[in-house]
Amino acid sequence: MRRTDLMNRRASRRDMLKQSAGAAAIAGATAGMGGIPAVALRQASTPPVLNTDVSGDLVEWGFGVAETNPLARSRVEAFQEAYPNVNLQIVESFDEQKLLTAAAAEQLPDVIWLSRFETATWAARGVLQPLTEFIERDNYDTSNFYEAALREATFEDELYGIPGGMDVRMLFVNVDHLTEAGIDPATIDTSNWEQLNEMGAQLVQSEGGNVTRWGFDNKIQAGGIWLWGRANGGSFIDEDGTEATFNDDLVVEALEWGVQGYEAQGGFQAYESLATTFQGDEQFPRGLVSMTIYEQWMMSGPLVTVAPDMNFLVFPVRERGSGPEGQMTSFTGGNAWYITSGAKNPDAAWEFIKFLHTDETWRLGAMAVKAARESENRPYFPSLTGSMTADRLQIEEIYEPLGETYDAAVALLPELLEVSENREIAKSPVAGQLDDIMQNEGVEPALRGQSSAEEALTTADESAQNAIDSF
Amino acid sequence: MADIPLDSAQLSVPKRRRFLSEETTAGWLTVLPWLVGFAIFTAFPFLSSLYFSFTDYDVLRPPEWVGLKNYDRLLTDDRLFPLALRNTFVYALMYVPLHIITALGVALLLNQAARAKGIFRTAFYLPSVTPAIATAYLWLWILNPQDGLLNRALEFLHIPAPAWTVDPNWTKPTIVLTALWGLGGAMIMFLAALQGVPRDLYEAAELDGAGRWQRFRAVTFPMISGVTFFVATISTISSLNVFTQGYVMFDKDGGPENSALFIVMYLFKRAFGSGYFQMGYASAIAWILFLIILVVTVLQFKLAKRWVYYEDNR
Repeated sequence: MRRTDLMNRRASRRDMLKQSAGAAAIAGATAGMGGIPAVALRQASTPPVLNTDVSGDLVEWGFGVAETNPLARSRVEAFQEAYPNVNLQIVESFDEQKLLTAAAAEQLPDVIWLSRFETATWAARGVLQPLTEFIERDNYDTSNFYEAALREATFEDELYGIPGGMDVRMLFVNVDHLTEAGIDPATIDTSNWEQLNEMGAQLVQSEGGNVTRWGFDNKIQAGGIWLWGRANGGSFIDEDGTEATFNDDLVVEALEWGVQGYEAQGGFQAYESLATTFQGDEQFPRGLVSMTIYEQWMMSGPLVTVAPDMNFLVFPVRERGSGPEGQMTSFTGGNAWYITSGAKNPDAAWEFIKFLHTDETWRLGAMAVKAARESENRPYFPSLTGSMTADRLQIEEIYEPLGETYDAAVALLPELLEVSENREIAKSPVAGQLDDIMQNEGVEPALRGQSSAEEALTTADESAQNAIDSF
Repeated sequence: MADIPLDSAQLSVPKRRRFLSEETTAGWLTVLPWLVGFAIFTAFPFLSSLYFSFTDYDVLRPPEWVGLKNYDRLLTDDRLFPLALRNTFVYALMYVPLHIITALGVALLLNQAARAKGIFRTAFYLPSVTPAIATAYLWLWILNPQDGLLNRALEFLHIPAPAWTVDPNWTKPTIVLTALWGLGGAMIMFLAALQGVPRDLYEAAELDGAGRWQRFRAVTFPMISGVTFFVATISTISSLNVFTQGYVMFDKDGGPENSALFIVMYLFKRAFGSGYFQMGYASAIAWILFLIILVVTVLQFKLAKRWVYYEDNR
């Protein structure tokens, strides 16, 4: 049975490969692919021109292709079959120290899988090369990618990375907890922040002096400030990335609200104490938190593995005061593919990137994920790819309805991604420092009551400006 | 007469050859690998870091000479450095005496143990050879404020349980406790020293009517003071360099209110963490720490003259 499945998968991959190995083949493939809803076809991007004749060694860093990651593994295997003359070597993980020393020693790999948040950090230091030349040469269509993803992979008006994954944040609500506390989930209005804090205070539970269940985790202590600050209309840095505005009044207001949220539930230390009992990202499915901001992979990961039958709902965050049907917002991150400035085989690197992002390759990957999930007796959940057509293709073609909650959440994803923003500070070559400064000098001192939100953010703003100026 | 210089010249050749005797050559050749290793892997980075400490350097762009700017910023315009310095000193002041007392205490008990000495010695030494990362995680579980073994025991005994890892007042004691577990090395040294104390001294003291405490104070302690001094010096240096436990237990960060941010953690963050890449600044931190350790160690040597007793100086 298992063998048959594998053979079927293999056969279907071969079919895909035949169709994706060349431009002409791809044009035919899209038409020949049975079962694609008309809507997906209408939105398909211009397929890229592939050149399977490239050859030589190709060194990649950062892409996890273990068996537990069928989405990556199947696509890489497909690449290897389609490009027999390329000798691909993958180093599955690296950190910034390794990249830094490799750059200093002029031993950079050809292509890297890196967080888009680090685009400016490495591009400004000459570690990455802009993709403009490749894009122009091949007429590569980038209109298919979400704007926030492209913006984050851009530095000084040049695109450096091709997005290959996205995450997006929303509010997860444990319906049973709310019902127990006498709250009707239908009354939740994420544009009414006071209501969210009130609900948090109603939902929190303690026992013997210890908090045993947190009501509402706004995640402001873990990067949530970038979400709530923007949702309050605030800004963290100016247009050209040279002036920090961490103490923007609207950001201060957002942080004040975030701090109040913690205080209303017993304070940040009580939360931290409870957080020491969290396992992985399972606090929500394990019922330790009633309402939380989380990335969409909560649904495909912890929820389906820990509490597949949990009664939950997902809400988009809306701009403060915009009303229950007001403007949705979120912040999004994720990885992209980059060609390094020291690439010895940039042409093969570019082919690798292009191949991994055709709709057909994504379909192949998604089918592999679905097969793997079926064998584990788990439901399939779409992966966010950064590409609008690949996302839709998964949702409309491969995803099978899992019930009202999951279906509504899945339907929300593309809509939410379109209005999502990347972290504004990513445009700065010192983005990592700015993130660290915001966390350690802005958010934490305010949460711990060491200083007011305004004082903390003013201090953080000074440090942020210093960091920007001294680059 | 004319032959004489010639003769002396002839004589002088074997003399020079004797100067570069086989023994000397062999000696140099023997130490050469170490010298080369020292020059490349210690002396060169050591001196380079001194140079970098006067520059702005992010590894990927050439260093830019800035004079004393890094030192000036560190000492006058950095909020975290004085805090890291204070945290490190508080930690060292707690750790070093406790380390000596516990290691010596365990060694004294083992020295008197009649049975299963080997088993106890192994059991106490084992944590010293366990990777620090593993012990840090283990202690994170034991000291978990809500679910931890220790706090459950304290609650059972109705003793107020501290929020070890989340209360800024308890983070340093948490790390001290974790580090104390690795007392094996010092314990073995104390044990060896204790076994080297001549029995006749104890007998003489006993004949003079000395009690247990007096025997320890007048015989044991002076006789093992050399080892105590060594342990004190080494553990002072290691505690000023504390890194692993804090880095692991507080997720690479300084913990609540930066209460567990130590100098080396701060150095590491500035050099490699969160896209800082400030190698010049980090080098300046390293040199300030080096100077502090140097001063403390010299002070310890000076004070040692007052309390350390070496038998051969008798």
